[in-house]
Amino acid sequence: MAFCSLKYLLFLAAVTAVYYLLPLRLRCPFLLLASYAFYASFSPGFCLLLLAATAVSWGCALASARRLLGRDTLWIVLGALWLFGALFLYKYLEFFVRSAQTLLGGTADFSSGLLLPVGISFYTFSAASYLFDVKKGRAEPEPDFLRYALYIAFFPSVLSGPINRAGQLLPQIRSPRGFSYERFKRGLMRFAVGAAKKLVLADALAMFVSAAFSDAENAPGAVLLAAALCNSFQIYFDFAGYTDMALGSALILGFELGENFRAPYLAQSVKDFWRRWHISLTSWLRDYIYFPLGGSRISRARTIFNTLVVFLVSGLWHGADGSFLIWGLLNGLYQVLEILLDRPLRRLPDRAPVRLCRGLVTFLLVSAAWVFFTADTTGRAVLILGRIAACPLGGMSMASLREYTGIRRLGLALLCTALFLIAELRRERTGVPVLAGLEKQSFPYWLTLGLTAFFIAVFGCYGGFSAQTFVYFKF
Amino acid sequence: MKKKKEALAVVVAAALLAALLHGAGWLLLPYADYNGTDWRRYAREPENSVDVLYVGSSLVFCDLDPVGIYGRCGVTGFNVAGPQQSMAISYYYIREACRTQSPRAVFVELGGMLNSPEDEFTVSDIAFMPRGMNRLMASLFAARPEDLPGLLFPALKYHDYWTSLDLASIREKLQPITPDPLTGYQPVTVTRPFEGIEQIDDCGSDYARNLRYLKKTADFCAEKGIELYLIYSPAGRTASPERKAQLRQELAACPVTDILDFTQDERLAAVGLDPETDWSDEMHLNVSGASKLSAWVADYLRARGFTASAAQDRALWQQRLDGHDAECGTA
Repeated sequence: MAFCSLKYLLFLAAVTAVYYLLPLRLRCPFLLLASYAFYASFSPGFCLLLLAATAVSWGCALASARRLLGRDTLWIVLGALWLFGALFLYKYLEFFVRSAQTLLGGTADFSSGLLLPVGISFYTFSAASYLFDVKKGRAEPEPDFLRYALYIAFFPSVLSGPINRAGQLLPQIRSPRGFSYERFKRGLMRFAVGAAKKLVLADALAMFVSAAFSDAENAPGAVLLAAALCNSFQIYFDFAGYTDMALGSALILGFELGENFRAPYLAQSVKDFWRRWHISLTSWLRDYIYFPLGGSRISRARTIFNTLVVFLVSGLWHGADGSFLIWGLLNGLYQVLEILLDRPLRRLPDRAPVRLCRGLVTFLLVSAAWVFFTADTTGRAVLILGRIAACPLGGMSMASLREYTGIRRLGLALLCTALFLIAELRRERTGVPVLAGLEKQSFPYWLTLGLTAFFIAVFGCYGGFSAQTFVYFKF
Repeated sequence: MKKKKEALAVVVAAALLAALLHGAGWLLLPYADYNGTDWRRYAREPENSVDVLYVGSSLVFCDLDPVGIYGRCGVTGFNVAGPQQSMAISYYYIREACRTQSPRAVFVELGGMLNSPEDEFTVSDIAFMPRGMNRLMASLFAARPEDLPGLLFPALKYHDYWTSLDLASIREKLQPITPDPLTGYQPVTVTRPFEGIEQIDDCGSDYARNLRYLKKTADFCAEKGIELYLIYSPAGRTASPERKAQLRQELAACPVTDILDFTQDERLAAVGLDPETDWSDEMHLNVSGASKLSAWVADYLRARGFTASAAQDRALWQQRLDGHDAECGTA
């Protein structure tokens, strides 16, 4: 039941209707039931794993807060061991054993035989943050198991985030809000904009990127360069589209989840980029790894070390694969470079051309790293980047582009990308989103929604009423 | 007041969306890529001027030549057929065709007994029908539920055609629709030796529904005073004698005039089909084979007392006869 499917729309409509018709005390159990039904539509077997992660983290947090057996840290450690142990078993065991086999000169043929449970990286981090926050006194332990279970399994975010924090979502679950028509409309619009990002932009760009990257041996440098740049936008619109749909779904039900993106491609540095990209993960890594390691208030060497550790973990979080590690390491190295060049960079004047250049360089650096993220193998990513570096503008023509994609579809996607960037730039300057306040109006709102739906229906990439899988779905 | 305004805005936006999707559907529906009946051209037939309807899958629109039949016996006809058509779709096609015509006979090809809503062309067979109750019913009962949105709004199904839409195709859509010179027949000029008929014991995945709709077809024809003929076309795969006997038994109480089995050796010989020259592939006849089969059907109609009806547009049919060979590529 992917977000971009008719089934999900019907599910959301039904859940919303029943949710608001129920008395307040029944809403949480109902939403929990709906969330497990949603999760079961992907992998019914893994519901038990989700339930176990929920029960263990809830019990351990409560035991720690009540100092059961006179211990508090022990319970948090046990809970974290369970959560990260399960994550390791399902996601990383095969990778580490195979790496060890390779290092020892053997054949990397180990198979754990375990399938990766959907959303495990996301809900594990949500549960872990709750444990750590309870220990640090930043969150109250939740005595009601059902409420806590809903915090972990809440269907708009259980599969691909945003990674929830107890301090934000649990209070909303404890005191659910009544129906707000304006919030409902805001959610609907957010969902529609997300669907447009996914179906009209991300999937159209994906067709081109996938065709060009898979023919990296023969594709001209210019085509690969264009594909690499489009790849950056594809990943962004794919994940931002998903997040918009998640946030929209939650808003429809009266919940406000944390934002995950803030115009990342307008960033002035890689460090700035990571403040704007996948914010819920970046802030998690910052709060639970970077700060405990000492953050940046220590020696420069330790700061560099901490930065590299955080980005290696970030790479590993995305996938048990060498390509993700390289991607994480590259982003870490970019930031190390920025730390080393901090003084000269600070001396640069704050003028538009300089800002433009900084933004462009940041975008190109990030785009180069994204190639490792998308390419099938590290070797292919190196091949793509090598061919771009050797002849970045070689073979640039409409005819060579046409071999890899439909020009109209790509043209429309690029035009919309430009419009989105302009909208983000405007928001950056004024602080006001383009569609802010639209929900307060009647005709402009509904006509905009209708036209957006029409736009998606005609120009979206879908067939048989199901779109491509979300990029972040596999994490 | 605020609530009324809001409700009005929702209704207006929904109506606008529906109108836009309808318009886009009209613009994007790829008539050039669809082999089945062009209902726009069927609608150009003078009212009540079609004597016989030939209904079914590609085994009808490739194998039967209504103009050829007319030339031999003076009985007008039209192929209302679509690729991989199931009996449910055939039923709604007949109902739709009978809205403007009062045929005396309907020939239904039984290959559709093996087809189901899962088949590749089910959606296009329905999406190209004229809007109305029959199409709605076909959408609801002859297709998969997940195909319903695309059937209600073909823009959802054929939206990808926007990438190839050009002025010429828009201009073509704006041209006045002319009557179909071959009345639904699609001649194939390729020749491939025929390797014989394979008999299969499989009832198809949707036998019960197909049988139900075949019975409904029989009832509908009886109610309208139409003679119903069922045919097994001379295709490379056909139901086994046991399955055919079973179907005959199940239709025993139904008002079916005759069942013509062109897979039987004696009937193939009577038609005069030559395995070396008369098939285009393992399933379909080519223009030569279709001409022989149509001649046999024409003689059969004459033998059953069918004659030219008074309501025929003789000028139109003469024009069709004159251009027939050129249209078939055999001139």
